[in-house]
Amino acid sequence: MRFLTCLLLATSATTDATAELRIVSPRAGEVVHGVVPVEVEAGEAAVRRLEFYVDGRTAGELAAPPWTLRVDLGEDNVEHLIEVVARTAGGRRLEASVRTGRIAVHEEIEVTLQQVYVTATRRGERVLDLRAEELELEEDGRRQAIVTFARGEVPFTAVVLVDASLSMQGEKLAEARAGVRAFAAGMRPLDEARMVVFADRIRTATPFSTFPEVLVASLAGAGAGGGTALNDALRLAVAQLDARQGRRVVLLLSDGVDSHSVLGMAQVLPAVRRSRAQVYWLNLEAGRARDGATVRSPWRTAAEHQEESRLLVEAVIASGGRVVPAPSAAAITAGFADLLRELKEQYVLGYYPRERRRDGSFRRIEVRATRPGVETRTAPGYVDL
Amino acid sequence: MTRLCAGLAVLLWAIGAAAELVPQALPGVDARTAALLLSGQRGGSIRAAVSAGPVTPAEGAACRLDAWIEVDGDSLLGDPRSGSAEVEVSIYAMAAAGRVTAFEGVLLHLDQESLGERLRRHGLRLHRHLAVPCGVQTLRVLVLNVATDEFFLGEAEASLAGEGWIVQVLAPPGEWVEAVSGDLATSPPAARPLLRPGSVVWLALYPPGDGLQAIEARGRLAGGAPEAIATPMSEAASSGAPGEGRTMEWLVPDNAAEGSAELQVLIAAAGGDVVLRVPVSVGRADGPLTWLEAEAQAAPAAPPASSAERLPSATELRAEYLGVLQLLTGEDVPLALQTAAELQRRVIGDGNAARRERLARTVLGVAAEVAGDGGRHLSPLLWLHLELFHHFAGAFDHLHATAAADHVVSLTGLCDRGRCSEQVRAAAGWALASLGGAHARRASWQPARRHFRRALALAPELDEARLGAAAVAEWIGEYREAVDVMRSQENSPGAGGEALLRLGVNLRRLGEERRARAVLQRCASADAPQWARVVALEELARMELAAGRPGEAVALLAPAVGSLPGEPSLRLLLAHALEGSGDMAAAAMLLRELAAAPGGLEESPRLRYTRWSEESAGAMRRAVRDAARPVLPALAAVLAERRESS
Repeated sequence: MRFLTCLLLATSATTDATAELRIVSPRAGEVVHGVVPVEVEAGEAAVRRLEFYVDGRTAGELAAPPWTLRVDLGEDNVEHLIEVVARTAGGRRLEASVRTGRIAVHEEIEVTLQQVYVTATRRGERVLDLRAEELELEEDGRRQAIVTFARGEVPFTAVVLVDASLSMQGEKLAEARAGVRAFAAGMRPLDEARMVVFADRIRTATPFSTFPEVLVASLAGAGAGGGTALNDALRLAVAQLDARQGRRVVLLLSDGVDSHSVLGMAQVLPAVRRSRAQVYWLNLEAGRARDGATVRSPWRTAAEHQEESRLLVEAVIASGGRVVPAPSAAAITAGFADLLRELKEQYVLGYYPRERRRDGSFRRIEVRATRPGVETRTAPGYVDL
Repeated sequence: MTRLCAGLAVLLWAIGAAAELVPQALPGVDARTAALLLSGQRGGSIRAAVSAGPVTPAEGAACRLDAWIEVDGDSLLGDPRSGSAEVEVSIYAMAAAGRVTAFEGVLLHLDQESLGERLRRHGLRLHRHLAVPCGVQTLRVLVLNVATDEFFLGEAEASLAGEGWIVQVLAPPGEWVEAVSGDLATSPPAARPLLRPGSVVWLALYPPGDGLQAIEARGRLAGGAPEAIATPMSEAASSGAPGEGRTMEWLVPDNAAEGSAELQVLIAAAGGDVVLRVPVSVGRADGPLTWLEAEAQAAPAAPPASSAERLPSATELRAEYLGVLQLLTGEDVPLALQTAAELQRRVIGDGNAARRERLARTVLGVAAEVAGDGGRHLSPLLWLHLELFHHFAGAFDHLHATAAADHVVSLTGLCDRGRCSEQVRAAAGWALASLGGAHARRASWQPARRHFRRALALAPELDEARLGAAAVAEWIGEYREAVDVMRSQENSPGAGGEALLRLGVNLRRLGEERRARAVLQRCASADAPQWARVVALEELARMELAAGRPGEAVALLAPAVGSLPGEPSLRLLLAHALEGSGDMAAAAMLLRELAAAPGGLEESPRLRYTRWSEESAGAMRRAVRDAARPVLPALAAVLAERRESS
């Protein structure tokens, strides 16, 4: 924290030179959120480096014009302080800043509609014709009135995590490309996704996009290599989705053996529980379960690896997603197609919880179908924040 | 379902189907295994045999192929004090044109205490079944003793049931240590059938088509004397299911002669007469049941017929080897290497132990003759055999790479008990470290461990060997050993960054937090490579987080993120620590920034930690070469003296 404070002090100092540097966009008081371009005019100044800060934190820097940087301001209705600091060839320091606005409200009404995503099956086949009155929803054991009901037409935002570590070499990665292509092509116009290719670190990532061409391009040149930092990648995926609205999904394609993350799955699990994202794991090494698996790595013992795998499954279940076995590379494309179909066939129920405590407590949810033989799957609850 | 003997654990570590595998494209141990299996080599120093059932229809579009591997137990067991012996078994099924259709890797843990005696007496029988496309398949099997790197490569053909006549001699029950996977109602085929005069032998007969036709079968032994007349076989049982065999019983004639023979099965069926042939051995009437037991009871074998080349006499071999050294001292290194490689291939053949032993004795004998005071002429020999090792290993010729490595190791033995000068011991250490690195790269941990440790015994100051020994110890979970190897660095002012890091990481694993923290802090602030500083900072932060002190982690990481801005792992940990401190907004912003800035294709610090450095690998080989070259004239003079005197 001392470091951050020093940074703030340094950047808030003013000089007479600010007149030569101007933030053109966003304008002072303008209401902005999400990823926005911060456009700076440097005039005649011979700028060699331009640093960008948002709310006192480094947002990036540029070494050459155009002096426009895209920054993520998040989705909250809050003001932001945007500052820029230029270093000129002559050693001068120029600064400029704007404070963005927020939507003015006379009275804040808390809208607490909770959405629950439900997959209904009968003898393993998904059931597509349930009516709202055939579903019962309880929170912490108390029956809740379902106020909104839809099936499939609610758009989703997905982060697709593709493991490109060395163990994915050859056919697996080729099939992963095919699977991603099919998934992207099958998305509806309002669905959007971001493709993230990871190994022992995040290799490439597309922006959130609805265009299959954009999403597939990320995998075109991806080769397999390196280790696997699955936990770290999952943590970042959840963080990206936390900043989005609506139905959020993580699709993870991996053999599920984390060997190089700095975070343990025990540290990622709470973030998954807090998040409202559903995590689906296309498990490429499902066949190993036949006789048990042995995994060696310098960072974990075999027992620790087994525990990591167990916790990953726990995270998936806690999110309301599921593990999709893919015993061979040939099953990847079919797995992606199955997941996309499931998302399109999922029921979305909305209800108003009787009370919101916002105390971080876990609220248990149960959804039942009254139609005989129909089973439901949903997240076991949510963290009340 | 898996049926196992007590004391035996089977772990499946790789499985696949219908995969096109290219050896060079596969990682680590897979690449070596694939290359070995696809190389077409057979043999090795482990006694084993492979048999395959016919390819039979299974559920869905695939067929089923059963594989049995019979292995001599003695060659699988290691040091009895080590408790458990590990054996890797890799099985590939290949269709025509060499396409890999299925593969499976199995790791066997053999409890030496409970199984040792039975294994030694009766051997191990492993059964696996693979899903393969329907059609003719070739099974290729690699059995690798993890501790010794000794291996067996074998092959068996499998025809499609129903397409033609197939006959297999079934194995007697035996007292194998057995691991059978899946449902298996029938007896397995014998990999190397052994018949006993006057005893009943069972055969599985697979007729073409639906297999239901009426047949009359007779059997006779050909090739052994005296020539026998065909006697009837009777049908013992038949399920009548398509693709399943019909079990036939046949009484081996009392007068069948011991030795190799051919069992001929003469079939009279509606479609015409057929003669099917199976190579067998005939033993004694009261002799052992299996080929392994028979070989164990027999006297030590002479070199087998499969090593087709004549084994040169010791004198001839010595002369040829001296010729190789003369080429080397004449500075025609490529020709010396080529000649040495050809000599080794010719002498060792398919890996027969007696042939290997004779070459090893020759190399060691000549080396002892020419070594000189303090072993000063040994470096060129170390260089020669180290280069041979890399030559063979690069060509995935495991058999000869292992033999070349053995020669390097035995040459370094001449330096034991202080018999070599410091310079020569250093060269021996470099050669062994080079071997260790090469084995570590192929995930052959136990040989790598031996080479690194031996390198350190000869050259205790060899940092590369120390780092290699620690890295290998970590891979096999021997954290105490890693600490022991690095202990001397703890209070050494000149300790390198990587050494401090490995020491700190392993101290932490052992719960020695205070010492770990001190060492990691030294690494983080030392003139260490950036990757080592980053991992040290990560581990220090993880210690704070694990101890429930996120604020301390933030204090550690915030300045580190400023000084190492390109390291996403530090930012991720900082975000996690900020969350733990309750600063959720700052954490969220940091995470969003991270997600927006992919880390690229560079190797992460944590990945770098898991391997021995490539730079060291090259440096060790160069160091041996540089030590050898100046000695070549002196060695040439010694060789010339020997020529004149002889």
